[in-house]
Amino acid sequence: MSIIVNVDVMMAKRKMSSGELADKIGITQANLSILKTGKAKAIRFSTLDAICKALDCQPGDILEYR
Amino acid sequence: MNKKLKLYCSLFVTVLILFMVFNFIHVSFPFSYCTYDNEKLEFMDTPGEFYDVFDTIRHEGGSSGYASVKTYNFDVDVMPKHGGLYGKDMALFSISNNQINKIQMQSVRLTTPSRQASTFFVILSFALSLVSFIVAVYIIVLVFKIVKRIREGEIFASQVSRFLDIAGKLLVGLYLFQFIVSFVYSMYCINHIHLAQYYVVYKNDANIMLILTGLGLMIISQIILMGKDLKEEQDLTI
Repeated sequence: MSIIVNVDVMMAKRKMSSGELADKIGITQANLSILKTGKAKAIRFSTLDAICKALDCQPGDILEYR
Repeated sequence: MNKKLKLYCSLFVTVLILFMVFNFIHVSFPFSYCTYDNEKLEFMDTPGEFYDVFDTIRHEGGSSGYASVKTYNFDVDVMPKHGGLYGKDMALFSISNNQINKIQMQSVRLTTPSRQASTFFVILSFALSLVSFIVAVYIIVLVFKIVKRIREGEIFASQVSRFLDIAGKLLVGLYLFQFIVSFVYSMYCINHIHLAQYYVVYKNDANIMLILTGLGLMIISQIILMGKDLKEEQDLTI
């Protein structure tokens, strides 16, 4: 897949851990790990909305097309 | 729709249509009729070859008796040489209460003492029974494995799809094996089974439901595989 998820980059910028982010957006750490490693097949808008809210960023900061 | 699913669906429809067409037309393929000078149809008392004589324990006034020998059966489909559907020549008729009916045998069971039975026939029947038994046992094992997985909550799993696919292919294979054996059996009957005034026709003992069920299971296995992919996609939707 050509869509890259840069959640870990934003997490490092906001100095937030995986557990903390997972709790804030309401998903398990396992699912967050799937997202970070690029294994996810799809992401819901509600999840993307929650991530952007938690990391105070734009969707374009998290999703990249190569 | 993936290629395998398309292929299996096409095969299923084709087999179903062919089955319906052949049933409707009721096709019979007569083979050549061979006349043998010493072969005749005769109504008579059961000859000695069909009985074994044994002696009972001789009590005072005891006597010997008879027991039937073990026999082997040949089931063949036949067609009358004379007196067919539109024939005006001689045929067997039943007349009673002013009603006349033409008698036409279509299928006969020929019984012969086992010691006279052809070894080839016996081996063929045994091989067919053995293969059918092994396949049936293996399919039962597969069914148990599938039920076990479903109980564990794994319905859309590649293992379930694989088991169904194997079971389906076994059933199709069994049908083809029965079909071939029926053909060989019929061909052998031409040379070794003679019935006065009757043609021996090809008899297909293969059960059509085997191949339809087999193809059905193969179709279901592909559907389950597609379901598994959808489930995986759903599981990996964050």
